[in-house]
Amino acid sequence: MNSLARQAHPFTAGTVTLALVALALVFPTAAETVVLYGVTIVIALLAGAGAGVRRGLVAVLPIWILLFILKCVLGDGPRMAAPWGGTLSQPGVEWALSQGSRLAVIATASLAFASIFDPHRFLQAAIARRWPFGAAFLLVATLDAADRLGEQAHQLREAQRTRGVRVTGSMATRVRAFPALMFPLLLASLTEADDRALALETRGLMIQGPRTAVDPPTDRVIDRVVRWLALTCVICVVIWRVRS
Amino acid sequence: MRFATRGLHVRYPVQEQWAVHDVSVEMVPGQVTWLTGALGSGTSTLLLALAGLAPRLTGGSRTGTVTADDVDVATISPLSHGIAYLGPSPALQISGISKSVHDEIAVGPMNLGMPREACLQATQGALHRLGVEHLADRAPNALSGGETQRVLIAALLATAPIAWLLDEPFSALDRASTVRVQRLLRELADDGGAVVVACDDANIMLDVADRLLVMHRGRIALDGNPRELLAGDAMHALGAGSTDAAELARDAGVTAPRPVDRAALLELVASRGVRGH
Repeated sequence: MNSLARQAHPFTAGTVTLALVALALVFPTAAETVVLYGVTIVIALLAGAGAGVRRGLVAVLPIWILLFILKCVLGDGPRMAAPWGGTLSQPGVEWALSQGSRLAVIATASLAFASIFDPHRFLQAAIARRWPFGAAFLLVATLDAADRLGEQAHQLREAQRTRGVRVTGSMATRVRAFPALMFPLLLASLTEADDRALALETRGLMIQGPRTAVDPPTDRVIDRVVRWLALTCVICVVIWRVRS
Repeated sequence: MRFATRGLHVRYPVQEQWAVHDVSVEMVPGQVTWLTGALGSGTSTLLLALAGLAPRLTGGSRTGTVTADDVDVATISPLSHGIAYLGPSPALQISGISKSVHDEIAVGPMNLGMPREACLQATQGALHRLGVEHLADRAPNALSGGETQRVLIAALLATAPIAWLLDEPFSALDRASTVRVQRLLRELADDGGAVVVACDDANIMLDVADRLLVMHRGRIALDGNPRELLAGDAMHALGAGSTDAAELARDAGVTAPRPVDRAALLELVASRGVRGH
């Protein structure tokens, strides 16, 4: 609870995440994107979002493997010696590194943000700033949806197991179990939409008009400095890219 | 708040039959109105219609009128007009935007734009009145069914509604919590609130309700004093249950009017000279 992210203003984590994603898209070469991935990991760990780093790695690992095979091993162009013997495509390695680390930055920054995101604090901050509540709630609901879906999938898997459906084991077993998990999950998600509408209506979340920030997070000087720093960084890199 | 329906019909999508069929009724402030009936009799749908949620959220269609203080409920947001609705599955009404029960209870006052101090006072007051202070720091989605039910009632209470529409509010409560909520409903009505409760448990509602509406196939079949209706045969004929005492008396061959509570049943037993072995 005392991690940097928990202490920081909710907008600070969001701004840093957006800045990292923007930089990943703007940086042109492998050297820059690889360093940026390293920086992203350090920031995430400092912020107490180690889970996001792990999830990011799991998400991009299959893509890295695919890029390695398609671009490095099977790629065209001049060849370079591989450390384990054989050769790799030099432009393919550069391309795979730049694109792979670019994706890794986007995935890690986003998942790290999601792992530390506190919907209540974010909404309190949005209300205190008089942001449109609908837009803020949409962001919260979207981030919350992933958790809810994961929870439902877990419950469904357990329910199917009690009915004798084999849902773990070899890849073939998992593939066979897929329809038995996927279709009920899809139907449950559709029903959930109706239930959510009821919750929104009965709890006053659809009411138009001013709301009260009951517990507005403190916007410290350090938060404002970090946000401006992140923004300045992105602007500088964009200007550098446009000029070069 | 006075609820009134005139020739109300409500139908769900793809259904041919009306879930609520030609209901014209008034529910007045200061009373606990108890809705009951056999499964599928239309009590839940009537509550949804009174809250303006059916057919707006449920889909389907409605004919006739439903008004709250002469305003068509279909045109209003329930909470901002002082109408609290508790559905039969409270877990589905958790807002999803709070990390703690305290924050969850503060959601309503926050959305109503109550001043900050009033929000905090209302939250504390509701936590205390429902006896859920010890849950204040717990995550709302990690509560048991009974805890969720109490927290949701507290969350609605914090918005200071003037009308309560409650669908099976005791379904997951233990004995102590049931007594607390019974007392709360009575106090809300005594303070001038309009309280409408759909409940299948006659034992719980007997001492709370001022008026009983028994529904059958979407229509209001009986309307009257709870004790008088529970003591008679009409409810049984409609598939609605009475109290344990009345059912026991029926099984023992006692004819209507039967005793509806334990004390009256014991008195009857004593007067007939029945003795245990």
